[in-house]
Formats: sequence, C-alpha cells, structure tokens
Amino acid sequence: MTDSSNIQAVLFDIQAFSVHDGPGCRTTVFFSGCPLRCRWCSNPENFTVHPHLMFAQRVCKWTSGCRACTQRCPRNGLAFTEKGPEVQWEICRKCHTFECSSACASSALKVCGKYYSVDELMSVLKRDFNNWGSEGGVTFSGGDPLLHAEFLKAVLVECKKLQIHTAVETSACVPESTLLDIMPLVDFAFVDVKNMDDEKHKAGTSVSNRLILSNISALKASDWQGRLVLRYPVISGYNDSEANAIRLIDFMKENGLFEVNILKFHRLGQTKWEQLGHTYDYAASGDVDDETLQRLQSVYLDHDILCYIGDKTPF
Amino acid sequence: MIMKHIDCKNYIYLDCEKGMCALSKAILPIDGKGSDACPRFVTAEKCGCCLHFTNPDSHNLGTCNGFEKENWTYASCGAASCEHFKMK
Amino acid sequence: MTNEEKLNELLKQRGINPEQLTAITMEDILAQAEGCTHLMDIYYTLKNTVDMEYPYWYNRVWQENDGDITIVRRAKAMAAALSHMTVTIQPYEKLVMNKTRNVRGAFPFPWVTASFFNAQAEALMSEADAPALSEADAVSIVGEGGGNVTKSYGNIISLAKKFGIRKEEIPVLVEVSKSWNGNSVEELSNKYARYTPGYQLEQNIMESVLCMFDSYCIPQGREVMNYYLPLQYGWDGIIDLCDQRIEETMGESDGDGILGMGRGYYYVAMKIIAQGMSKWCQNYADRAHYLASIETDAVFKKNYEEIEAVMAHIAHKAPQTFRQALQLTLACHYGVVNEDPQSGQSIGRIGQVLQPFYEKDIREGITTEEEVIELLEFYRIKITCIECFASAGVTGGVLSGNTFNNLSLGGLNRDGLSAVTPLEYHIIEAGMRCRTTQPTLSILYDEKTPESFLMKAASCTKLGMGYPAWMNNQTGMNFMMMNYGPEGMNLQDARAWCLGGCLESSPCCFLPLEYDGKITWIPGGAGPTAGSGVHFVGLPKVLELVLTNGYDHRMKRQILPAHNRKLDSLEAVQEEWVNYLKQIIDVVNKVNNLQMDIWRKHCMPIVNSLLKPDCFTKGRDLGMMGGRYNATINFESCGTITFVNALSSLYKNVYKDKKYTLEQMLEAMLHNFGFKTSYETGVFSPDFREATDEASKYAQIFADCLNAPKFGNADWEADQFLKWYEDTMFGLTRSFQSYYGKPLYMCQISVSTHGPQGFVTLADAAGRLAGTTYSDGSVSAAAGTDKNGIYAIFESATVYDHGTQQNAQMNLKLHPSAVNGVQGTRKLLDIVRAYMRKGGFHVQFNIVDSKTLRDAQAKPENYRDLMVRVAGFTQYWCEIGKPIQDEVIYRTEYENA
Repeated sequence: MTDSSNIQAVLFDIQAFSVHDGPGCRTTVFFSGCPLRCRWCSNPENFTVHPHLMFAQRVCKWTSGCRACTQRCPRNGLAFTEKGPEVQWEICRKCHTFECSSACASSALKVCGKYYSVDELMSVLKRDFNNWGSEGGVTFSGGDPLLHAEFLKAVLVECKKLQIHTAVETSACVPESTLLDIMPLVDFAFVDVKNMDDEKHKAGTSVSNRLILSNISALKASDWQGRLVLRYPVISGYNDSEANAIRLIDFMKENGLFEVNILKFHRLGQTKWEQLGHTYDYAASGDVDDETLQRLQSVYLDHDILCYIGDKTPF
Repeated sequence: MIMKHIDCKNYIYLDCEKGMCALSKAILPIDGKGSDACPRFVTAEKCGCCLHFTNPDSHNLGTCNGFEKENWTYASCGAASCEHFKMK
Repeated sequence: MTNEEKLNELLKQRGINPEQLTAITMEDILAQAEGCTHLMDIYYTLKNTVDMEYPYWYNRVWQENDGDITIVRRAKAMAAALSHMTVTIQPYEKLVMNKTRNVRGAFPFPWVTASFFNAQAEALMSEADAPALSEADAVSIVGEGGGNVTKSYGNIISLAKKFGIRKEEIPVLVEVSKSWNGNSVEELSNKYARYTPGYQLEQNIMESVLCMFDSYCIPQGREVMNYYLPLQYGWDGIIDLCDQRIEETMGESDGDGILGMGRGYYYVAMKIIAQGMSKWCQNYADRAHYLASIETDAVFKKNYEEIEAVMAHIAHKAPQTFRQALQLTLACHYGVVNEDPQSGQSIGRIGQVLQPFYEKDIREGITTEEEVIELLEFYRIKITCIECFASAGVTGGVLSGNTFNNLSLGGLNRDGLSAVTPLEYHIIEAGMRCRTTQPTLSILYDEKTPESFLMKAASCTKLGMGYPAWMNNQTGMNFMMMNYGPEGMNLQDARAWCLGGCLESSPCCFLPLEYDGKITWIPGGAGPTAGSGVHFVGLPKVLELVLTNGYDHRMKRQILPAHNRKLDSLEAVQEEWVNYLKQIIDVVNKVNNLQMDIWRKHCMPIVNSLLKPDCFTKGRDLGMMGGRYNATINFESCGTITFVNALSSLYKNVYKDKKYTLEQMLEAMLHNFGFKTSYETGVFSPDFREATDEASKYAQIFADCLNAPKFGNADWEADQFLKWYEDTMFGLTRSFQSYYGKPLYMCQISVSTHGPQGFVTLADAAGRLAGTTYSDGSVSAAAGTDKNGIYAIFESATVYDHGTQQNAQMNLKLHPSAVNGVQGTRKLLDIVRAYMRKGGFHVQFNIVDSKTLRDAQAKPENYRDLMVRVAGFTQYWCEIGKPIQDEVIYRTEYENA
C-alpha cells in the first residue's frame, strides 16, 4: 500500500505496446481532462474529467431490432426514430450510472473513463513492466496528466522506486510550480507548442501560449536532466507556415532545445466527436501534404534543430 | 492423325491444362485451339506408342507385355523412364 | 543534401545514433533472382493437378508381388513408382524434382483410402465419357481460387474441389482403385473398428463432428525429416551398407524372438528403395541431358548441363558441394512425401545441416553468398509446389490446402551453444526476397540466439508474409524432456528438437556428419508422426452436450449417453465435461489406434524408415518403433478459448452472481439469444447478427454473456479456467495409450477446424452465436474480447507452463505502422522477447491492414501473391476459403470499430 492510496484519477485508456510515445515499447496511460480545447483534438473524450457516455452508432445493432438500452435506461436518455437511435445528450451528459452500457451487447454504448487508485494503476504497470524491454517504460498522456498532479506524482514516485523509465506528454499549461514539482521524476517529455502566435493559439486551443512558453523556459532553466522534445500537429492554414517555424526555432535556441517532432494532421478523432454528440470543425479542412512537412523539416534542419516527422524518430 | 503438343518429347508438363515447349519456351494448351503440334514434333515415349502395348479399349487401357508379367496399362502413361520401352 | 542526410549529420553531432532512423523499406530488399521471377510467374497460373503415373506403377508392382513380405513388396512398389514417373524440368530451374510430372502435382493413394473412388466409379466414368465442356472453358480464369480447381471444366474434372484430373486418366483412377476395394487402410480399419467397445458411440462422435479427423487420412507428417544417411553415404553407399547388414542379419534373431528376424527383410527393402531413389535422381540427369542436347540458347544449355551433373552425382555418391547437398535433401523430401498422403513433413534445421557444405564451398571459392541465396530462393519455390491429395474433407477442410513444410532456424547445438549458422541468415534473406508460402520459417528463440540473427528474423516477420513465426526454444526443450525422458531422451537430444508440421514439437537427435575433414553434429528428426491420434475434439461442443445432457439439438439426436446429473455447481459442469471427454477419447483413441496399426502393418513408411534414426541401426521400420522416440501420438483440441470463455460466463452469470438459472441460460442458447442462426442467414462471420422477434426477450442475458469476464484481459476470473483446463488435460491425456503403448499428450493447434467445428456448435454462454467459428489458436483471445492490449493477453496466456504440452498457439495482428523502421523491428523483437520471457511457446503475426484484405477479397486478380498467416501457416489469400477469409478480416479489423 502506498501513502496515497486514497487518491484517484480518471483514466480513459491504458494502451499496451505503445510504440510512438517515447523510447522503446511502452504502456501509455491516458488521463481524462485537458486545459486546452483544440478544435482538431483526436481524443475529445478527455475533455470531461468524469466518466461519461460515448455512443458509436456505426456498431449499434438497432437495424436488427435491438432496443436493450432503452429498456434499461431509467431516464429516457435514448430514443429510436426511423432514422435510428438518438442519444438525448442533455440528459446523458449528466448521467453517472450508465445502465445502458451494461445492457448494450455491441459495445455501441460505452462508458469512457474509469477511476483508478494509485495501487490499481501500479499493478497494471508492474505487470506491463515485464514486457517493455530495456528501452521502454510508461508514458503519461491524456488529456493532460499534469492536471492530476497529486496522483501523477504518487505514481511517478512508485515508478522511480522500481526504476521504470517515465515519460509525459503534456500541454505544460499548468502552474509552473506544478510542472517543476513533477518533472524531476520524469525522464522524457513531449510538450506541445501548437502555435507561436498567441492569438492563433487562443483561436485554436482556447488558451494563451504564454504560460506554456514560460513553463518550458523555466523547466530548461531548472536542473532537470531529462530529454524534452517539442511536438505539434501540422494543420493547414493554422500552423504550417515557415514564419511559425522560425519563431519556434528562435524560442528553442533561446532555451537550449534542439528536438522537435512534427506530426501529420489526421482525422482519426472525428468519429469520437460524433460519438460524444459534438460537431467536428476539421471534417473537411486541415490536411497537409508530405511536401509541406518536408519543407518545414528542412527549415528546422537548416537551423540545426533536429526535426522528426511522424513516427520516424530516433527513439 | 494430328499430333498434339502433349505427345511431343519437347513438351514440358506443367499442369492439367497446359505445358511448355522446351524449344520455344511458349506455354502450350493441352486442349482446343493451339494444341496441335508443330513441324518440330518428336514423339514422346509413352505406353501408347510402345511396341509392347496392345489391345487398347475405348478408354485407351491396353495390355503391356514388355515385362516378365503381363499387366494392363494406359496409353498416356509416360514411359521415358521405362526399362522395356520400345518405340513402335 | 537531402533532409535525411542533414538529419543524420545533426544526429551524429548530438551523439545520437543515426542508424536508428534508417528504415529498411521494401525497396531496400533485393529482388528475387530473375529465374525465380520466371518460375513464380508460371506458378501463379498453375492448377493443382492429379495424375495417375505414380499410383499406376505402385499398384502394378504391388499386385505383381502378391505374396512377398509386405515391407519388401511395398518397397518394390514405391521404388517402381518413383523411378517410372515422367520427369519435368522447367527452363530457369536450378533445383529440380517434383512430386509428379506436374509442377503442383499430386495423386490419390487408393491403398490408403479407396472407398470414395469406388463408390463414385460410375459417376466418374460418365463424367469422363461426356463430351468436353465448351472450348471456351478449356482454360480457367487465373486469380479466383488461385491454383484450386474448384469445378470441372473442359477436359478437366475437379477432385475434392482442389485438384484437376484429365478425363483420360479417370478410367485409370477407377481401375487402380478397384484393386483396393475392401483392403485399403480405411476399409480394413473400419472393419476392425466395429469390434471396439463403444464403436457406435465413436460413430456418433464423428457424425456430430465432436471429433473430425481420421488418422489414416494423413498417417505421416507433423514430423521432421532426417537427411543424415544420404548426405553421409550417398545412395550407392547406402546400398553397400544394406548388403553388409543383410549379410549380418538375415536368418539371425539376435536374441529378439519377435523383431529380430524382421531385420533381414528390412534391409532388403531399404536396398530396393535406395536403388529406386537413385534411379529417380538419374532420370532427372537423363532428362536434363536431353534438354541440353536440343537447347540452342547457351545460358539454358549450361543450366541443363549443371543440373545433369548434379543429378548424376547425387544419384550415386554422397554430395561434395552445397548445391548437391541441397538437391539431395530435396530428393529425400519428395521421396518421403510421395509415400503417404502427408502434411507437415518438415524440413527441420536445414541451415545447420548444410552449413558444412556451405562453409567449404565459400572457403574454396566454389560458390558465392549471392549464389547460395539464389539457390535458397529456388528451394522456396520447390517446397511451395508440394501439394497433398488426401480425402476431400481433409485436403480442403482441415488443412486449408497447405502442406506445412516447416523450416526451423536457431535453437541450440549439441554443446548447448547457439546453433545459428551463417547459412541461416541467407535462408531468411531468401525468404525476404522470394515471397512464397513455403517453407514457412520458425525461429527457435533462445536467450543465447544472437541479437543480429533475431533482428534479421524480425525484419522478415515485419514484411507481413506471416513468417517467421517464433517458438520458445527452452519451452520446447522442457516439453521434450518431459515427454521423451521416459524413453531415454537426454539434454543433448532435447536440444535437437524443432517443429514438425506447423507447430508440432517433434523429437530429434544429432548425428555426426563427417565432411570437410571434420565432424559436425547435425540435427534431424528421430521419431514418427507427432500429429496423429485423437484429433480435433471441439471442446465447446463437448460443453454444449454437457448442458443438453448429451443431446445434439442440431442433429436432433442423442450423441453421448445422458449423464442425468443436476448441474447445481460449476464443479458439476466441469466434472461432467471431463467425464464426457474421457468417454470420447476412449472410443476415438481405440479406433485411431486400429487405423494406425493397420497402416503400419500394410503401408509402413519406406523412405522415411530408411532416413529416420535409429531405424537403420535397429533394422526396423518406423511403424514398428524403429525411431528413437515413439511417444509421439497425441490428442488434438479445438476451440480452447471459446470453451474457457463459455465456462467463465457460466460461472459468473449462473453460479456466482446467480443472475440466471442454468435453465434460463440454456433456453437463451438454444434460441440463439433471439438471433437468426448462421444456418438460416448463410453468414458465418462472428460479428453478423440478424434479430428475430425474440431478440428483445434475450437482450439482457445476451449482453450479460458478452460482458462476462473473458480470457485475454489479465483477469483471473476468466483465466483461471484456462489454468484448470490445462492442468486437467495434462493428466487426462496421459491416461490413454497410443498404438505404440505410449501415453498421449496434448497438441493445441486447430489448423482450420475451428471453422467446421464452430459450424456444428450452438450458441454458447459467452455469447458466441450458433454456427460461427471458434476462436483460433489455443491462447489467442477471441476476436474483439481483449480489451487490455497485448501485454494482458500475454499475462493470460501464461497462467500455466507451456512446456507441459506439445505447443500453444498465439496469433497476433499488428498494424504495419506499429513496426515501421529499424526502431519498429526492435519493438517487434521486444514484444516477441516479452512473451518468450514469460515462457510463451509460440507467437506469430499478421502484419497487414484490413483494408488491403477487403480489397483483395473484392479483387482477387490484383492480389495473386498476397499472403496471410492463418492457423500455423502462411497461405495465399486467394487460395483460402471465404469463411476463413472473413474470419481473418474480422480478426484484423475489429480494433478499428
């Protein structure tokens, strides 16, 4: 038992054999809740910190006559019209009991997010520890793991006792003291800088980038020994300009940073927005081609910044 | 009688519908159009063209008297490796 | 400077290893040899073909020697058959020989099973006598079905929906089969099976497909070849040895009043078959000589002349070069697979066997590494062409058309050090360049296996052809010691083991090859088939019958005797399941023992009895326990995880939470949870459901069944039943004896039987609907039920010691993007290593995305060369049946739901 046995956090997934979230083979722990609201987010289910419902109409067997969910729901949250099933989101977003999901045999109605104690998470990580190999470890992602600082720290302390390699993927959009408190327990970090222009940053993510940038500077100014790789998804018309890259390069040089990982925008999260009853702004825009990514990469490389595209990374 | 590719010594067996010409390396059908032999035809050793093959019935099963013990055989059976084959 | 160069430069400056970024892509792999491309272009157009030359000669000489000692008679028949077949050599070939005159050739074995042909004689004859179907149909369409002749056309008649036979050969087939009416292995064993107690029960079991295979159908295979004797002595040397041994043993009992006298006949038979093999090889030399004589192209001519030289040499003498040695092993392989309907006659660790020849040739400049890789590519094509004609159900249904000639690599040598040889790197390289279904490759993973070799193997696995698969060397050795220790197996012989068939761990030994001025201990098979016995018992179907008191609701018949027990606890269910299983094994084992006993008395192995140690030393054939190890016969399961999940749900919903009574559960199962059955809809995909009016009535119980704990999630509530099952089966199987008087053990590969056995099984308590396939493998999660990722599956799979049984099968699918680049290779190896460290016996990967598979299903003509891993083997996509295609797609894509 740990001292922090009563702390809990909501995790929306624990992914084994995760190969693109740090060195080697890893287990990635996805925390619910994020300070940002990126309009292109591929994990929108993490916007909510609490467990909540998701509905995948594609796998629902309503056409074969299944109505098991309506029979079980005590709140009339689900209705069937000739067009198919309809989730009454104003009702269902407030639900904490999710009777419908246990009645659904097709996994169309799923509860997203589950409370974990430190011990529960550690027992999964200890099990997976057998599988990572010498390079790998655990990556805390989300959402933003730093929103759960107390829980995260307790888990990190346990990991370090076992000499597990730790990584985080964070927005760094948390109080500086939180960041500096957590990071000594972290070996490897990805921090996203979605846009160097503050207004654009606000437009795309709903928050300013000032705290993020100052946090990165503070981290580099501290005696933290870990490896920091900046990351961002390249989105057409938003942050694919050379000017944005040059500004980031200047910032990286000022702070002694030399690695950036640019990711090709993808639409894998689109169905999740729909499953949560939201509309997705990037259904038809945002795509970048490979030439754009290579052009950006060459800008970075010309300024002696190591720039990796997608999963072509040296880790 | 028109000879067929499949009865030629230069025919290389591939499967139940075709073979190959050892000279031209062309794919040759066993049946139908294009299955007739060319002027370079050389008779392949088969029971059907062996001196010891007699009395074929309607299914081309006949008698082989080339060995110590007489027995039945069939015309399309290859005989290139037969110790008692004698071309008719 | 390109971006890549700039990046590498910067990485170097930062002290980060740039090599890690350089991905081996498909483009970096050298193309296959030009000759191989020509041969494969032809291969893709070829039809599986049956012809009658071999059966004709076998039958003729067998009948002419009526009254002779059986083993001698059979050797004469077989030698005559081999040495009279028409020889086929294709231009571009460097390695030669085929089973028959056709490249994908095969033939029926009426002496093993003739009843089908005799029963169908009239129908076959009238088909043969009918005028040819339209000329336009004379050549079939390539692509659909690949090489399978699924229906008759032109002058070609389809047999077993797989082989084509020409009409003019039908009368020969009918005539030959007539001779075996009533005395084939099949009919003789049926005759004596009637005397077994419980014969009616056995018939019920087979009719209900509770068990679905007869041992005589493929009495050899699932074993490992041994090439030692011919490599050491050559055919002439063996003939001399036979003469010596005949002189020593003929008329001598040597203290063995039962088997002693048999030795003389054995050596006479071995001499005859060695002469037959020699003549067969010589026939190829002669044909090559003729082809060279008419050839005008200098390159082809030289090629034929080389073939003539190689074949003329190995027709008599021990090989003196790598090429001769490789060709000789092929001759042996073809000789063995021509003596019985066979699948899984495995090549074994040939990269270790042939290393001395390779080493000498390279050292002396006789050949180059590139030439060796080229020969190994040709070798792949030769092995891929091996086809097997068993009975219709076995050829298509059980085997899915593959003959599983497995090639093992790695493991340990006799001294306990890594056995990996330089030649084995080339074998993998050849497999990367020349992508054919066979031989499939198996890595015997040991902690001592060099990392560079493992990386080479992983970079091959990554290409998505399904090979190599990965086997745990230490776990395999443990099984060897446990199972063959009582017969005297020591640690050294245990180290010689490898895979026979797709996954059948087989006993082997090392023999001292004297070559190149030194002795090399080479591994090879040392026992008979490790894959006959009580085969393919559908475990979920047994559970269904426990719940229905032995009554089969599909056949509307009582199949097993009613147990009449009130199933008031899960323990009661488990006990009755064990009782039923015991009854099944008891009666099926007796019948299979008879089948194999009659086979060994009437159709004993000949070529294989020459090759397998210690037959030649003992003067005894393989059927009479001439092999060094004989505890090889086993029990084979199907549907392990489907069964485990059903138990888990029964426990949870009926006995633990008591949410439903057993009667309610059974009612829901019998009503298929309110869905139409696959029999009604004709769709067998596990995710297809069509509701009936009753659906809502069973909606809740169906959801509860689906949501019950499932194997593969590191959840002890479900995994405990796998542990219970394995522990129970360990003792249970060993309480039965094979015809060799040795205990059975468990083989856990379903091959393709999870389709047909799933077909006959009603809905189960885990929510699997009636008629849909069982889960494949023995420790793979049922598709769609593993929610916690690969590491959790590993945890679940290793709740018991895999070394207690012959094998355990784990199929994994990975998306190609997960293993991109050199980092991806290392990560693939990491995952293999993770499982091996836990003692997992086997893992194989399908690395392909479902989009490609769907497209291939729609447009097979564009994907003639696409390969997938099915059960324990790689197969051309277009040559597997639609139900299995559907299942592979389902397994590959469910994660994207």
